[in-house]
Parts: sequence; structure tokens; C-alpha cells
Amino acid sequence: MILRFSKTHDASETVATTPSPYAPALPILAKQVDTARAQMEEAIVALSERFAQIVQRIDSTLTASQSSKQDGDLAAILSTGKADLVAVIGALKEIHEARNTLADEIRGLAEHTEDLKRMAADVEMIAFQTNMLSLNAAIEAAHAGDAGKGFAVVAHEVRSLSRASRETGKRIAETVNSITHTLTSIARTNESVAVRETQAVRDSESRIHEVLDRFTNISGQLANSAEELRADSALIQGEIGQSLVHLQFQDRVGQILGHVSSTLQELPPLMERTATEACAAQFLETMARTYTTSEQHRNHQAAADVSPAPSQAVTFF
Amino acid sequence: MSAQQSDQHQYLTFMLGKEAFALGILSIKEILEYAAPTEIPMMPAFIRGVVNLRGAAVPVVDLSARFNRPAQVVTKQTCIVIVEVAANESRHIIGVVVDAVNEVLEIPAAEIEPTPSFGASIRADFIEGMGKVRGKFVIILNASRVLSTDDLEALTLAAHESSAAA
Amino acid sequence: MEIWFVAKKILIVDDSASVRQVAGIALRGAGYEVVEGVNGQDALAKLDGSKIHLIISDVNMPVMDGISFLKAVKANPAYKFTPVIMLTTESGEDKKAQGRAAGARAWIVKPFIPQTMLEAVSKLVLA
Repeated sequence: MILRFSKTHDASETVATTPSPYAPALPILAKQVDTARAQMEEAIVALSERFAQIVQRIDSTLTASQSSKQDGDLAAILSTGKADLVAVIGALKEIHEARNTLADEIRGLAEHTEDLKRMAADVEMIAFQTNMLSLNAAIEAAHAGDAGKGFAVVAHEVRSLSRASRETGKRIAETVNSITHTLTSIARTNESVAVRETQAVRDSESRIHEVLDRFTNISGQLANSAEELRADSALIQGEIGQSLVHLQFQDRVGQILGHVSSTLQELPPLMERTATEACAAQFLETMARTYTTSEQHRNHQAAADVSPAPSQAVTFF
Repeated sequence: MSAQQSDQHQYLTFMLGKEAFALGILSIKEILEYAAPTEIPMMPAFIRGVVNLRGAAVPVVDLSARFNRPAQVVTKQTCIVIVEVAANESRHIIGVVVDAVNEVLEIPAAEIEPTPSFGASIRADFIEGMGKVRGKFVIILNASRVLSTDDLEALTLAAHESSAAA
Repeated sequence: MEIWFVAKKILIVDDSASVRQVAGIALRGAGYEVVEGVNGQDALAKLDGSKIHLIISDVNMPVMDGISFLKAVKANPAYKFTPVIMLTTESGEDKKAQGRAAGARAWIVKPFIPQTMLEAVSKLVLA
């Protein structure tokens, strides 16, 4: 807004020569101008301060948000951490399941081995006894001569049976042996697996701790940053709000100076003419009627100069 | 061939250590599972003791010791073969410990070869002949010589004397 | 199908650029769409028939002052029910009475606290 001040006569000169009835207007006008100037200065100072603070707050907020960026993109950290955990948990599960399966298999085999051993022993015993039986039968048959011939045939059959069962017994024994070998090697493998597994569990435990620590750290940082950001944001809002009030000074100042300007334009011709007190009083009254602000009125009444306080309340109709 | 004759050709084969022996079936009464004999003090090593066979005490001989070999180790296949031997006018029942009994089989005379004059690890008079069974040889023992009561008595006496002197 | 959020339109009338600017900042910050008029006549021209949800007007303006503008708005059938808030340095009771008589819904004395103005706006703005 451009304030237009037309060239005026130096009013003080006129006063010195002839005390004009319009003279009282001048101090009032001067006061208005001064008020305007003071308001402008006050507003500008306040605004500068506010703006400085706003800038500072925005800066620190940016720094805060940036420092959390230094630890890496949060989403990336979260997803990496999550992937880590998932992988670890997956590995643990696999090992656990494999272990269980292995343990079950070993247990199963061991049971079978015991059974087989027993069976083998039983078969062996049966074979032996059957053999004995057949031999004794053969002996009887031999002593019995002809009569024992049929007996001898039966004895023969029994003997082949016993031979067959002996063979089975042998085969079973062999199977048991091979199973035992397998079991031994499994047991050995299981041992090394157990060792590896314990190590893996320990490793994954420490990894989980690491990830959790990182999370705690970051979430702590985030919580702090978020708090700061929130606090800062609120403060910035406050600052901006205040600034908007101060920025309205231009309007008031403009109005006041505008009036002063137009009044000052009117005065010189009036003061050149002879004027009566009544005219002057009339002029002052007219001047007062043009006031749009409360401080103009106060200055007119020579009341204490007080900056207008922003209105706290709205009048609803 | 009469039944008697064919019976004469039946043998029980058994093991002593890794060697296969045979005894004529007519001298065998029965086969028992091994049971630890009751030891008789001051008997020679080859007499293990006595076993109870339906009330009768039957002496049990360690055949390996009889053949001057290391004593037999008892396994679950160890058996006692009850043998009947004739001596003078009486018949004696003696048990013989064998490492394992194999089978009763027929060895025809044609398959029996005479005792080798050398190389046999036991007294020649203990051996009746070498029987060929499925390509392998079994030592057919002369039961009455192996378990000759005279020998056994003499040995027992000698054992008594040696232990008395010790 | 896209749903656009239609912002409410507010007409701010004031010959002071700084007032228009400050009011604009506050209103746009609150999510309103802002149309500006530099005086009463200019503002009437801006009332082209499109929906205005609320008018904020100064009183002391050249060409056409706020009270006259207010009366003209109330005479226009399209904007008869549009709420008008007077935003002015004038605090005198007689001026306030004029505004009330002319149909204003509220009177805010400058300098205004943005929050106060926004509360009044949200209270009066057309749905």
C-alpha cells in the first residue's frame, strides 16, 4: 500500500505567526502518526522475532527428522529386521522338526532292534532245540531199526525245518547287525547335529536379541523424535498464529495514516482562510467521525496511548 | 543191505572247535543241552563232573582236554552227547561235551577212508576213519577207545597221585 | 470412481491486501477455498452464482463499503442465506447495530486471532 502524502505547508510556521483555530488538530494528527509508527515498529519487531523462532523450530524439526534418517530408511530397517526374525524363526523350526523326526526315527529303529534281537534269539533257540529234537529222534530211530524208519523220516523233516529256521535266525542276526551299524552312525550324526543345533540356537538367540535391541533403540528414538516433532509442530503452529495477528498491523496503520493523510491535505487551504473556533471545532468533529479505529478515538481524546489488544471474542447476532 | 547194516552207517557229526567229528549213532543214546556238571574234586581236567540224567549221575568228559587241546569254552550251542560204551562185560554211560552238534547222516563205507598215518592231531587209535561228507572230511571217532574206561581210570588215578603229591 | 473432497468456498472482502492475505492463510490452512474481493462492488461481481458457503467482509472500504455490500448480498436470492461475518476495526456499538440490522451474523474486531475467526467460521458456515 502506498501512502500518499501531498506536499504540505509546514504547519508549525503557520502556528508561530497566527495561532490558527486548527492548531489543536495538529498534535492530534501528530499523535496519530506516531501511534501508527509505533504500531508498525512494534509489529515488525514482534514479527521478526516470531519468524526467527519459526525458522529455528523448523530447522531443529528437520534436523530431528534427518537424524532418524541417518540410521537408515525406517521401512528398510523394519523389513530387514522382520525378514531376519522370520528367517531365524524358520531355521529354528526346521532344525527343531528335523531333530524331532530324527529322534523319532532313532527311537523307532531302536525298538525294532530290540524286537529283532529278541526274535533272533528266539529263533536261534528254537532252531537249536529243534535240531536237538531231530537228532535225538534220529538216534531213537536208529536204535529202533525198521520200526523207526517212519520216525526217521519225521526226524529228517524236523531237521530241515530246524536248518531253515537256523538260516532265518542267521539272516535276522545279520539284519540286526546292519541296523545296529546304521543306528550307531545315526547316533553319531545326531550328536553332531545336536552340537550344530545348539550353536544355531545360540546364534539365533543372539540375533533375535540384536534385532530386538535395534527395534527398541529405534522405537525409542522414534518416540522421542515423534514427541519432539509433535511439540515443535504445536509450537510452530502457535508462532504462525501469533504472526497472523501481527501481520494485520499494516491494515490498521494504513487506515490511520490514510486518515492522517487526507486530513493533512484538507488542512492547509482551511488554515489559509480565516477560521473561527467554531469552524475548527466542526473540523475536529468531522475528523473524529472518520476514525475507524479505537486508538484514533483515544488519541483524539488525549487518552493514554494503548496498543489495541486483539479481540478475544466474537459478537454473534 | 539190512536195516541193521544201514544203521551202522549212520553217524552223528559234531564240532570241536573248528574241526568236524563223527560218532557212530549206535553208541549214542541221546543229546542234551549243556548244563553245568556238578564238579567232583580231584578229578583230571578232562572230567568236568557229573550231570543228573533222570536220577543217574553221568560223568561228563571234556573231549578237547581228552585230545590234549585247550579246554572247551561253553557257548549256547554246547551240548552233552550221552554215549554208551562197552568195556569188558559192562556198559558205561558217559557224557561228552561237544561245541556243537550238526546232524545225523549216513556215511557209506565207500566214503570212509583209512586214518592218515600222519598229520592227524589226535591219537591214531582214537580215529576209526575219515568220512567224506559233501566234499569235506569228518574224523570218525572210535567211541570205545576215546572213552575207554581203563584209560579213564588210569588217568584218574594219575590225577589223584599228582594232586596228592602237590 | 474417485471421490473428490469439495472444499467449502469463503469470500473475503477487504481493501487491505494484508488482511486478505492473513485471512486467506488462516482459512486455507483450515481447508477452505478462498475467493477475494477488494471492495463491495468487486465482491458482488465475484458472486457469479456459484455456491459461497460464507462471506467475511470489512466495513470501511472504498467504492462500496461493507454495510452496503451486506445489504446487496441479502437482496440477492442466490445468497440470501449465505452467512456474513463483519471483520472490521470498528468496535462502536452503533456500527455493530448497523451490521446486525443489515443481516450480518457476527462481528469480529480487528486485529483478529486466526483461531477465533476460524471458530466463528466453522460455527456459521453453510453445511
